[in-house]
Amino acid sequence: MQSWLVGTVLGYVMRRLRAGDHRLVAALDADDVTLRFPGTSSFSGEFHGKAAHERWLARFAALGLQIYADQIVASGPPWRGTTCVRGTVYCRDEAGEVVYDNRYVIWSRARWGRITELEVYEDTRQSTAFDGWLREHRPELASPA
Amino acid sequence: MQSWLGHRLISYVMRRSRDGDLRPTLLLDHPDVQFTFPGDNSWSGIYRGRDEVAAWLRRMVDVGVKTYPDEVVVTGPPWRSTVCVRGHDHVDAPDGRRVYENRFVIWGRMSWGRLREYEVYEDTDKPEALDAWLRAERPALAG
Repeated sequence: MQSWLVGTVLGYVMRRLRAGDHRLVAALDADDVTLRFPGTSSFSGEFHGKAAHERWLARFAALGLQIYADQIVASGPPWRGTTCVRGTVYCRDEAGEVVYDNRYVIWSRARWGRITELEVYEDTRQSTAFDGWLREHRPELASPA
Repeated sequence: MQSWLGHRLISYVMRRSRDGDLRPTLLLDHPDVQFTFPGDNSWSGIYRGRDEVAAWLRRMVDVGVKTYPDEVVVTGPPWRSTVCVRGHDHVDAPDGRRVYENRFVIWGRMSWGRLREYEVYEDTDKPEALDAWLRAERPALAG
């Protein structure tokens, strides 16, 4: 039941994110949210606070990345809930060719409905290769704002 | 409660694996288990059946990869449960230098106490760097 409820909310906010609207995801963040993204790509690092996470999300949405959840697992009490999302993410160029394709897990913690911690686990070679494509084809979005 | 039990179980089997004993881990695997490791390194691929998974795990132990669970989430009925393990692992060289360090998620599907399928999600640059170290320092285990 808990996983179903969380899945319904996340399904909706991911749909909005795919449409280019990152605000709804950002609205779920606690003020002290932390995002950790692995690897050494332009997406990597540890981002503290709502504003830093929102900037990261805004770039994600501007790139047109399409993120889908295949499975969502939620457990724990409302004051210390854990949600694990496993899914796929991809990006197409203007001709419709897939230029980035990956599988991911997002492990997150929430407190009273607000996300306090997000950590992404994925094949970092793919995000590094995507950086190469961005530098060549979309240099304006090749580095974080 | 389910996650608490899962954490106890995973902690136990990983502790035994760190000590070189893979039997508890392999007892959890269904004979037709499928294991997927990401990336393009000597660890990557899809391994089908307990024997292939056992060979992969044996190499992991021989290389000295020490795996620790930080958090475990288990949900679903016994005939179709999902197990998510978030943890960290490392390899120390004989001189004590840390030559590999990573964080991972293992996402598994269990049925009646046996793992039918599991997949690792992690930074794939790091196992590539470990491969390079193995080729230089321990070629017999470089894969």
